Amino acid sequence: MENLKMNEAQSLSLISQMINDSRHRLARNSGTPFLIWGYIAVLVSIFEFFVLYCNLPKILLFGWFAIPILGWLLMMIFCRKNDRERGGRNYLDRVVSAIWIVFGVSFVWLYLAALVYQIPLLFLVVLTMGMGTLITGLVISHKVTMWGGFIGMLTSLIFPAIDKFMPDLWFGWDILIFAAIFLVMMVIPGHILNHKFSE
Amino acid sequence: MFKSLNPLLHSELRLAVVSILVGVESADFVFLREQTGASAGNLSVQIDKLQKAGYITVEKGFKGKMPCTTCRITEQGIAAFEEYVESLKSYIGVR
Repeated sequence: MENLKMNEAQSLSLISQMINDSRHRLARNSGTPFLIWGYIAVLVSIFEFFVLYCNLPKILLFGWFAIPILGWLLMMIFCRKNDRERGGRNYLDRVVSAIWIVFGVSFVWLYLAALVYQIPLLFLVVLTMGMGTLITGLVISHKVTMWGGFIGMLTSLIFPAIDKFMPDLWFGWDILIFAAIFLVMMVIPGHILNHKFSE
Repeated sequence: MFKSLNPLLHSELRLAVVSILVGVESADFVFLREQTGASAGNLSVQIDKLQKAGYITVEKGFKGKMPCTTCRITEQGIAAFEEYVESLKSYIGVR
């Protein structure tokens, strides 16, 4: 691009092209946070299912803590790398980051409430992640992400329903349902988002 | 009646830089160079002109160990851009 004078139509076309191109470029990898959290939740859940199914030592149930620990670790690595490669930041980045920081902090309170009031934890995790995903989908105007979040919120009701109507159901099935919800709520929208904005 | 076009913005590279910065919160020099396809020297000169006009701010810092120049549009830059677009509309008859 040189420092040329343009006619009016060329100016408008240039403005539109520059805005669209930079928006497209900054949207690259926007599905990766969903993939990080989604895959970690699915893999840890499947691992914990087998811990219960095969009667492995109970200490392995602490593996659930791998979700926040691995999630935050991979997110930090991803954010650092992504910031360096993208070279820019838009307003949506700030809004989406703020949404997830608030949800992340709120989750600590919800976790404590779940312990005190005996609320099913899987229900709270899926509900809050579903809310965060739905809001993100609305902010970035991405239908699959919106639907993923909405389905997550809706299906979170499965867990209290199981507690109420099928109290004798083996807990391993709850875990598999949890994994399946994360697959639909985060992994699928994450892949679709990354594919949409890939080069 | 046609409004006059701001000569500072009515040049391909400077308009491209301002258009990019209007849509983002900040962008570094490499990002601007890759998006516009301009040479580093030319881009640097045009960024300097926009900064002197008060349309953008330029912050020099480091990303890790690499030097990094970050550009942001100012309120004055946004106002000039909006006025420029309004003037363009008067030329092509968009209301």
